[in-house]
Amino acid sequence: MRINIAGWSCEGLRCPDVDIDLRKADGLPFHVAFLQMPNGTGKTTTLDLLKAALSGEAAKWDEAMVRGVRRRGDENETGSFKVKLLVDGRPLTFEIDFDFENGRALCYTTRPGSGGVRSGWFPPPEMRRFLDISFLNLFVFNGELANKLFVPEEGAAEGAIDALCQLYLLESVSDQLDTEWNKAAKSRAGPKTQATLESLQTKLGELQARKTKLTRSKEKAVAEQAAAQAKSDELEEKIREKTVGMNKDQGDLADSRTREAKADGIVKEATASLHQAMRLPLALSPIIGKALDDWKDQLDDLKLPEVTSAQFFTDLQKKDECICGTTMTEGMRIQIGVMSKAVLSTAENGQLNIIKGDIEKYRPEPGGLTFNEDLTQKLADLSAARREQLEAQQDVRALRRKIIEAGGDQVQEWEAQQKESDETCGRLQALIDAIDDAGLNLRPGEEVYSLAKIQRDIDEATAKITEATNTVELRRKTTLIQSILQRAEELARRTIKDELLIACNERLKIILANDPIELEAIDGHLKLAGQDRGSEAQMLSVGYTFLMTLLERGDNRFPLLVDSPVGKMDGTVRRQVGRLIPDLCSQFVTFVINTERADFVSSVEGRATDALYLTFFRKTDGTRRLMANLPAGNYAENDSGVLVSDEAYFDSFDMEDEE
Amino acid sequence: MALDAALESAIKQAVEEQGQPQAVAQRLLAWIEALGQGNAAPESQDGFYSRLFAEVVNPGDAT
Repeated sequence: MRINIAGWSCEGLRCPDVDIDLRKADGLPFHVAFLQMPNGTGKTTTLDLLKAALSGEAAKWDEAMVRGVRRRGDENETGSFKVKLLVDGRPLTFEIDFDFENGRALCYTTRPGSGGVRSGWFPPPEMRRFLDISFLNLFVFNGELANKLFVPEEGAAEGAIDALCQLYLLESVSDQLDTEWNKAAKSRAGPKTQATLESLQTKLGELQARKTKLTRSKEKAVAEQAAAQAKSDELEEKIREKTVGMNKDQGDLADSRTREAKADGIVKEATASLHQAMRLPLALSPIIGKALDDWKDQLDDLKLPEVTSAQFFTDLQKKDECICGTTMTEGMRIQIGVMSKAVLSTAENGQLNIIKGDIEKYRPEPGGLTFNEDLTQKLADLSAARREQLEAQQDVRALRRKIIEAGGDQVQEWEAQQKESDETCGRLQALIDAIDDAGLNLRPGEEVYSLAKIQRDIDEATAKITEATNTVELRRKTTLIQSILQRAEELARRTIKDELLIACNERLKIILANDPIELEAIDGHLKLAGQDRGSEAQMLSVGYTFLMTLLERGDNRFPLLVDSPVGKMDGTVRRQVGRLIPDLCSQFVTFVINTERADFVSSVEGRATDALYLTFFRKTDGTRRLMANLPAGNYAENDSGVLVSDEAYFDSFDMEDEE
Repeated sequence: MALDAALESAIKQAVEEQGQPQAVAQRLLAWIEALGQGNAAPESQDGFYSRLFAEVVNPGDAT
């Protein structure tokens, strides 16, 4: 990409109104353009405006900065600055319109072929990075920059590499990764560290091992219980066979067992029925039911909640008369509106009605039992069933004891063995019950046998681990990419510096063939080989060479626009630097004052393909004398200044400071 | 607009040193290039981020 400055114009600003055209008749820019301006004519302001327009930074200026570019003492409400570029020969214009009244600066972009004038700063995407302010400072600057490249504290050389090679973008991505990580970490509950994740994984492992152990224990218990039960049944059969002669007792025992089984069923049914009845609070005590009934009756007596609803007052506000018969006034309406906020809301009103409805629903049928009476009856039923059960159990035990004792030693031995088997069955059943239990009412520290509880803990731990794994994984990836970016920056910086060093030194060998000097390193600043400093000419030559070598990376060509490139250097230095610059760039635009012309201008023009000589001064009483000698046809004037395009006038101009 | 050649190859090398696939380098370069051209608006950053992370492999899984 080749960028050239075609010119600029300004109106209503601190610098005099002017329209600078840096192009030749064929539309291409002069290789070199000298713009001679006495101190005070606005060189610094022009440089600042050029940067503000090219970078679009003007749109961010505050009111003070905007008003700061208006000429002191002037009252004009608007002003404008326009810079025209040629990008690979195609025009591109950036404009700033200043609204001094409101302290605003508006940017405009003109790209023929892309919609003409567009509000805002919209450079072609491919050149956007070259218009970043940090990059602009590399080719639009005052003469001090070349010297700053050697000052360690300034870090200007490193900054220049960052700006051109966009190494700062690596940091931008790294910062964005931090932002994304923080966002993700905040949105995720649970542990975020590797240690916590490992602890969770250990816990999950233990839970899974416990689950496996209990599952096997249950399988074993079920099998052992079946065996014990079979043995018990077998012994029972042996006892029955041995005592087969005791027909009457056997018959009684069978009847008692039937009665016992029936009683067991009734007890079970009565218990379930009682549990169901106990769930209703008003069944537990007659006091509860009565209190609820009384409360509902009081609400009905007071016509609550109907008369205290906000809607009631809202409706009342619309009436011509109050409920007391008074004619409604505006003041009363306002007061009713205010007070209605202190009464029941629609939601509260609704809740009260639901409670009233529930109390109504749970009122017993007329003539029927109350809930408390029903509960009392169920308790009595359970007691009776339990008594019947106990009696049946006693009968079974007594008859069985009688049969066993009559059966002799053999039967008693079998009975003892059967008792042992039954105990084993009971113990195993307790274990199976504990394993099958829901595990909802465990005491703290109690050993867990409930498979359901263990499965819930496994599910919970798995969910936490999944969450933590994702979070830890995200942190690991973030750190990994950031380390890649950091390493890439180190590698890129090293390569770029090495390449620049070689390219600069090759160029310096030619440029300073008679006054050789070499760069040793680029380490934040430029370091010369074997010496701390060179002559002023050498230092400037190295500085400009570094800048232009850097700018030419990637096959791009930039103009060099420099304010006071030689300053107070002596003639020798000016000549050396003057001879160097035209060879370094495709377009060189420079602001000079008359005292900087000597030696420098002649040296530059000697190496330039072509040159433009412009002289620009403000119209004041002090410059009136200059108006007499203006070259006919080679100047333009307006109310605030005069622009002369004439080499002879340029050479003879003798004003250093504005008068 | 291409990035500086040294920057591009540095990213590829750094990605390789970490045992990551070159797709990671491509995603990073696309993101950096968009940032450089001012095309990475805040709302589009999420897209660059998620596409990049989708390509990153665990160090143990990297081949």
